[in-house]
Amino acid sequence: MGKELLSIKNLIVEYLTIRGKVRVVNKVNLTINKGEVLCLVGESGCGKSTLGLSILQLLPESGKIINGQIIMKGQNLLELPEKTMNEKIRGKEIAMIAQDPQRSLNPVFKVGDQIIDVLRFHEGNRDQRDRSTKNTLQPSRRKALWKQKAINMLDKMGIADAGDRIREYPYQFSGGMKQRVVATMAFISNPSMLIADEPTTALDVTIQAQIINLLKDLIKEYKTAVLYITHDLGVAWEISDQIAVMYAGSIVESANTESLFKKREHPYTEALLGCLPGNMMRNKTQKKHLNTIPGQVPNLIKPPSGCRFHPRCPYSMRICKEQQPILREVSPGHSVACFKKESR
Amino acid sequence: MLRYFVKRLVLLIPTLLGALFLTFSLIYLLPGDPASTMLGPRATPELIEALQVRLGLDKPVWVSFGKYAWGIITRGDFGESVWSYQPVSSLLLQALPYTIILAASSMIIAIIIGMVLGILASAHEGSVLDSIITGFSLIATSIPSFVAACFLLLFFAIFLKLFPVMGAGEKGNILSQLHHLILPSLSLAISWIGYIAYLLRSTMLEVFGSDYIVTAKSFGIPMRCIAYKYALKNAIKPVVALVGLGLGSLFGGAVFVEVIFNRPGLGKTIADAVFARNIPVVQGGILLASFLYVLSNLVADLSYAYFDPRIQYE
Amino acid sequence: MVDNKKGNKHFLQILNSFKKKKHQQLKNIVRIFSIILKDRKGILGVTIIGIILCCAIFSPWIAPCDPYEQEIANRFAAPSLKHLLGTDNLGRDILSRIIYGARIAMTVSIGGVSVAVVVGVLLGTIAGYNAGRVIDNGILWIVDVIRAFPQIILILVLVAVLGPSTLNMIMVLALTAMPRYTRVARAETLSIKEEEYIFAAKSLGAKNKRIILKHIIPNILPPIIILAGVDMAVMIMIEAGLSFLGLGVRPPTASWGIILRYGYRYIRLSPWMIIWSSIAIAMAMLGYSLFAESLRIALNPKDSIEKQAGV
Repeated sequence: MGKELLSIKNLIVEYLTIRGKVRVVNKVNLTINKGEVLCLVGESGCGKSTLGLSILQLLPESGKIINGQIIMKGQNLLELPEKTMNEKIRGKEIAMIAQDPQRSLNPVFKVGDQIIDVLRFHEGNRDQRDRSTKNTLQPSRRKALWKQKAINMLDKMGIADAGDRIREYPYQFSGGMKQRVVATMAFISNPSMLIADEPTTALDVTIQAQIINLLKDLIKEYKTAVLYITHDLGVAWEISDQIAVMYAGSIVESANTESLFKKREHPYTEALLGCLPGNMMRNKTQKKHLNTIPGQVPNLIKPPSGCRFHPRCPYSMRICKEQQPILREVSPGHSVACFKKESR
Repeated sequence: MLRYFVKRLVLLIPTLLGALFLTFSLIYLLPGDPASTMLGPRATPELIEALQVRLGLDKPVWVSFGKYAWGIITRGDFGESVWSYQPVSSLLLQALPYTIILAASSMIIAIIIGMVLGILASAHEGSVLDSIITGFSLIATSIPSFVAACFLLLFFAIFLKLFPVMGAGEKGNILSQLHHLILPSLSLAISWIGYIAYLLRSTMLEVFGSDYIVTAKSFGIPMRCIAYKYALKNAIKPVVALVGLGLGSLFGGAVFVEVIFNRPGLGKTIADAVFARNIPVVQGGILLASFLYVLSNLVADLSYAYFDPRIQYE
Repeated sequence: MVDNKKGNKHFLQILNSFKKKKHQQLKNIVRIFSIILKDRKGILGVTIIGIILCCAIFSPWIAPCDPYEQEIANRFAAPSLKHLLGTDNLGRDILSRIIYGARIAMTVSIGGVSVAVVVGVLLGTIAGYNAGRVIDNGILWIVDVIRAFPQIILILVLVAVLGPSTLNMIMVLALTAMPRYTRVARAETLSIKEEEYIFAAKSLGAKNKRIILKHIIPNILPPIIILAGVDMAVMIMIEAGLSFLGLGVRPPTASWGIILRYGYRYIRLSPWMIIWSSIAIAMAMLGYSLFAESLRIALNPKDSIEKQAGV
């Protein structure tokens, strides 16, 4: 139990749209342990980004957290006042790397200034002491220290000539490098947890590999826990210790990575893994097309009754239409939400 | 930055030449014979002929235009007033500072008040304060300068007797001049306060939804800094464009305000000349106004490029 | 045509789709109006414009008195039961003069905007469509020269030179307002002319004039209409301003600007002329501004909440 870092309990998040209320996160329970990488996998629109945003309470105007708790170090984050969230949690305990690096940085400020601002608002509150004289540092000296820290970090992230580049503007950086800048801002305060929301989706494949390797190194060095949100199962395999599969707002399967890929208990997971092009190789003589999952992602304004996957599930039974299954452990460390699997 | 400036300047030349020609041709637009129209019904044929020669009406259009344009470009010579024979350029230069002071103070008032209101409204979106500010802004944009001037004159000068009714104040007495400046500046500023507040509020709200603002928030940057630093520098661009536009139309509004408050200035000079049919002064006046207008637009464009460094490289 | 039948059918289908487009456009207009009317700003704007239009059209029936009837003995009277807004410097009923003033305001603004839009859009589409660089640059140059002057000052001078009259005012207002429409029309035409349905129509032999009229113009209308709404407000203001200076309509015609003019002249004798004419001018401008703003929001549903939810 001392391993637990962040624990999400019964989280419900809804959006209010012109066409009605949409329940995008539906009673989700999730636990991330210290130093562990948990991948949250699912298709677009299944609610995984919303889940990430909810942890830091960064939902847009129309999104509301209806119910649930997010416990970190004994405190429910959802009960903390905004000021405390800003000062203690965001960018300090928990940092986030978002999906589209092209839009993540403020275009009219120099990159260095943006990094230094993160430092300023977290360390600026405490008086810093000069190591040699033990006197409180002058503001200009502090700024110089921060600048140096930023340069060191940028350099670590693989940006050459960091000392010159901090004076440049975001438009002078490529997509991959922008993401490295964001990573700098994320790791510079040594957070205990990182939320990575599809950080490589918008990048070229070669850059993707670079960034993922960078993240892997950083995670190992800083021992950060990570909630890695992605739709790419290949990446999930590469980087995660644990995987949680999400569909239409609920977690349908949760296990450690190897176990999930081998046993794939939930029908959705099975289908998802069957869609990988690699599988086509094995079935080369039989099938000419890529496997797909029949049907479409459900409309969350009027979701299907019972289990939300049942219209597309090859094993659906009568009970699937009537009730929603809950996550149950079917083997040590491996949970599934499925009536078919339970009955075994 | 400099290259951008020069590039824009060069592109302006054909436009300015065209403006010069349009101004020049105003004389020919007068109904009937220009000279006799200007002099009025009591003019003798000799006077009329003399005026025609003075204005170059006896020569072909191209020659007169050439002389006119050349005089302006090389010597700054706009001709002479029909009535007083005083050089138009000196008349204009005497009046210009008053208008510049009026325009500048109006814009400064409008920018300060407008920006504060706009930021407040956007930071408290949906609140009562927001509704009040938005409502006030919309109404303010519908109050033209002459309406505001008459109203302020009626209320504060005549009714409450707090401010002087006319003039620019005693020469050399700064306090008196400031006292005379307040109502006119306010009249000009009111509609701009409305525009700036409304526009800034809209753009701030739009910027608040951007990804980079969410990113900044996610790193714990407090709302105060986000509103006044991060969001503002992005939101301010349309406002700068608006102000640039505004500097020009302030000259138009200044005409009304200067006439109403009987203040000396470029606008009043043009208006008086218009009523007196003093065409050379009118021509000089609108050329000067046009030149300042175009210049202020250019300055606005340059500041736009400063706030968004990407523009220069396009 | 030697072309294969499938190709013909394809083109005919595309052309049929814009007949449907016409019907759809009517439906679109109704839909947009309903959006406007749901928004507070829109309701207020449409109401105000409606009132002013009624005053303008039905003035003889609405106005309590004859706007030209003078009661010299009763000049500068304060509001009373007989004269709800008081009387002016010649004893005329202010309320009636304000109601009749709506006629001038509407005539000048509608006339000015119409001419500006027609000429501006025509010039702009020609410049953008196929005019060749000379004509295009020529039109742009003319437009830029007009734009080099502050609008009010240019109007002032032109009206003074040409002689104050309603017709001159409309023409000059149109001239100074035209540049914006030309630029917008040209920009929109440039982007639309590359689209597929234009190519389809051309291939069937449609003449350029027909293409411009039937296909391009209906599609560039939205920003033009919004500009027109704003311009109506501006023209009402300029008419009032010019009349205020004595360069607009001639007295004894009832124009809001003229009422304000004499209110200013006799400012120490009575505040009522200034007060009521100011309110009339401001309300008219407010009505059009609100309508234009509401129209802009209705035509640009960019920040729908649905996008936020990723739904």
